Amino acid sequence: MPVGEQYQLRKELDVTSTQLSSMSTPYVICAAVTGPSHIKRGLPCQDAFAHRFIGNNIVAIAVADGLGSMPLADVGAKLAVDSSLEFLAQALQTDPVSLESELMTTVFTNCILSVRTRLQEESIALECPVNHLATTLLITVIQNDQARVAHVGDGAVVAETDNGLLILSTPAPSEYVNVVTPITSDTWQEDFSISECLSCVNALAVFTDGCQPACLPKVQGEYQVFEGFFKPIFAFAKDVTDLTIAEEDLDSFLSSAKMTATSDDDKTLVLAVVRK
Amino acid sequence: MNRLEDVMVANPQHPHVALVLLLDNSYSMVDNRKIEGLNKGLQVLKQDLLNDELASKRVDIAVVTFGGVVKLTHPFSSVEGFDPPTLIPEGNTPMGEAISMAIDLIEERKKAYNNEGTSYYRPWIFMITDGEPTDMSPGTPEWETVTQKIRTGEENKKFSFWAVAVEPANYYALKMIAPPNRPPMKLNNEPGAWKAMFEWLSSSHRKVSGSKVGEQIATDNAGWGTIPT
Repeated sequence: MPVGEQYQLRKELDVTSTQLSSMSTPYVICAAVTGPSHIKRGLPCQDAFAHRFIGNNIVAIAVADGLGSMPLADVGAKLAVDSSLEFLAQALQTDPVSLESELMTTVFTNCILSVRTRLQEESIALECPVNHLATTLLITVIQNDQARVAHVGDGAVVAETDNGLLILSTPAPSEYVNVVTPITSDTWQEDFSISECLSCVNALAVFTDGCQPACLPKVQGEYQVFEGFFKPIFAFAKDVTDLTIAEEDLDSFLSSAKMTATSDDDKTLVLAVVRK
Repeated sequence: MNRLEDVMVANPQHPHVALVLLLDNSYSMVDNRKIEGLNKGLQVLKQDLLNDELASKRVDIAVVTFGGVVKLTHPFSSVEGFDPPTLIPEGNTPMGEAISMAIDLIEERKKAYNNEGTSYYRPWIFMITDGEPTDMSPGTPEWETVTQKIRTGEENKKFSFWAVAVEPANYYALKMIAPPNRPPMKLNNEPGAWKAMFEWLSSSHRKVSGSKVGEQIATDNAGWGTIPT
């Protein structure tokens, strides 16, 4: 089946069916769980995620982590992921844009600005300061076997490529583990980055900082990929035949004692299988 | 087979928060049983933190005292390893030297965390005094050096500096020492205020480990002190 038709089929089946006789790439498996610390404080899950197939050869993934200290952070996170994908769908639907081009850099930047505007508008509608909606935002765009990331705040993206496991986007540098510059901040650009365009990508993991301690330890000040986490995770993703069951399994994994012991925060993990 | 069972997790340390208690044990603390309030408060702090599963693993405590001499009375340890000292009032108030020691201790602790690969929260220096510095006075180079260290540390978010004035502390002098964004609190002169203060300190550290912040937030004042106008 031509690649373009595969994408179209995936789009049509996105909502109504999660089982294919064989999983045609690309496909996306997502899960998010509320962290024990949030449960203890009666807070909802303040992570959000979404993904979207765009045109014939693009998958966009957005992941956000609302700041726990802010009352409407869950609303901000959801709005950030939804509005970013809406923007990207409009920007990338019709005219082809090469992922490694300067134009794509502009698209990413304008996407972030658009999200900021939406959050500002929402704060006015809700009659609250915009920082009540404070959230990070991590956007990954996959085109054929290439991937690129726009990133404000923490969380990270790890890729499995023909050359092994690579960190495509690291958390924004911060001395303190609980301090981050959200997209709503006037100083958001200090924590904004656009990654290189990575080629020969087989699979991607996009995750919020609740997953970081388990899979991206810091050694001598540098983040390192923990292979013991990613190799089986990507193997799991490539073996999937039923998305619903896979997402239930991923959900259970994120809620497991093993993962909870590393962090009591909300955890979101989105796995994209690009090619097998 | 569910391959997720094969997934291993890295074994990172819990993130830590370093707390330096900077405590005045000068002779005047013998009055009005202030030293008793302080000593009992240290016990309350330890017990409260131990009762919280996360805080007990994340908070590291050191004690620097200034009474006659400046002493590292208790080097950094976990909450479990913290043996609250019984302080004895003596001598005058070498506060300037003590503040410098506390700031140096924080920097060393951060280096240790970085070497171990331990992530951390913004450290605290929590000073309690009933007097004013006897080793430096306004306008002297020593005074300028110490107050500038506090201001620079706060502006660059290297630590949070908190000062608590216990009567008959020279509040005006403390206000000049403390960072402008966080004026000293005056401990209420009423029964239970010491206990309430240490319970608040413990609660603040439990909160520190709880949530992500975009900027430093003020923790709630639980009513043990006031900021005089």
